[in-house]
Amino acid sequence: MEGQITITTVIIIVWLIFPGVVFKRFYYKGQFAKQFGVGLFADRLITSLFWGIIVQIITFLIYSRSFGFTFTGIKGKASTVYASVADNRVPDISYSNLLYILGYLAFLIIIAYCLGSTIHFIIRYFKIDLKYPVFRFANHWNYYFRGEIVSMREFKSLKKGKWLSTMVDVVIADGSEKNKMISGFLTQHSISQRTGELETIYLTSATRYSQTEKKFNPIPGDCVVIPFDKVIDLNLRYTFQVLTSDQKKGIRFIRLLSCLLISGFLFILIFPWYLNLNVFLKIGGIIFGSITWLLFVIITSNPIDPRPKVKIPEKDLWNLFITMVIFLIITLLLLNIVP
Amino acid sequence: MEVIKLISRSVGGILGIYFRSDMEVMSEEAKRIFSNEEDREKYIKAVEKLKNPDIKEEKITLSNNEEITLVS
Repeated sequence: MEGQITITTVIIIVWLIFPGVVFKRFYYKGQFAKQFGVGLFADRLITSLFWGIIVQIITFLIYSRSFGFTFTGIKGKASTVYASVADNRVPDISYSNLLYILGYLAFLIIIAYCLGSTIHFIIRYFKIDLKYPVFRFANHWNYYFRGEIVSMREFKSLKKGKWLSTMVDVVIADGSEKNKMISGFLTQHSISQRTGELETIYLTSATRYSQTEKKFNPIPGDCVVIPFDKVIDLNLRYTFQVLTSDQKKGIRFIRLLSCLLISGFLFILIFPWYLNLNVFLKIGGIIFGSITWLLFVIITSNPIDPRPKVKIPEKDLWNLFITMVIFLIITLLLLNIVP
Repeated sequence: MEVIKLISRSVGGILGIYFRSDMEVMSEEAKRIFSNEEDREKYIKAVEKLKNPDIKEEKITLSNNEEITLVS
């Protein structure tokens, strides 16, 4: 019984919890990375298990379609191995089977990484976390410090343009009778690994209010580090850039381009797995298909691209077009779409 | 060789959309302004002026002749 519990635990950890942990490691990144290790153990375990199951389902679907496995076939082999281990016998696994198992594990980790990174990117890029509170990350300071709150419904009236920088006015209690007031441009902040709360803020071009002179005087030095536990009061002032109509067009254009690219890449990534082909041809088709799609988007979007710096001259477009056609033909041949 | 350079430049421009950092508490434009001493002075002065509630916006011309309008 003891042996059975140990084996079951190992199976659950390796096959279900571990992929979920990898997923979450890459979902919580950047300024949200510390959310990965914060919270109740039970909560983290359940969410890891949940995402682990999803990663496992996706990996199994892709892997079984690539190598022609069926659920009953794998179940039969797994039962034999499990019975051997439960009886304290070394399982009879052939070298090719071992390669498949290790390959599956590697694929599981890659899928967990891709899924975590992609979902994080989609939520951040399309500002889903700002529109829907359920998707919001725990580090709420990042939203305040980056001026992203102006995209939230609660602060919609503040919207003025493109955020450039955040100026911070802080009142600090330094143990003396009078509190200090410091003002400066926010350059960095750090979050506590244990609690997930704000720990330190870093200001540049800082000034300090002089009670006697009744004005702000520059603080000598390049960076002022303020521990947040000394802060009594914090005031944020955002500086926005008023966008010209061309700049607004540029932003809309980039968003449209991103939507096109993402939808195309998703199709190219999923479609080959429904074809009855060798796994290497599928991977080759995905690589060449992605480059073809990228070149297609670059060529078709170039005439309407409002950004003069990245616009490609017309004579160079033909070179890109010929390259795209070559990549397209290779893709179609690899995926066996043309005989 | 030129084609490879062209492709890598174009692909780099497109992929830059995905891989740019959105985690900094100072925008790329502000960092660019702060890296130039002259622009930095102009920017700080403009932001200081914007503290006055009567001033709604402030225009500055950067060293590369780019004109930007700031609001606070």
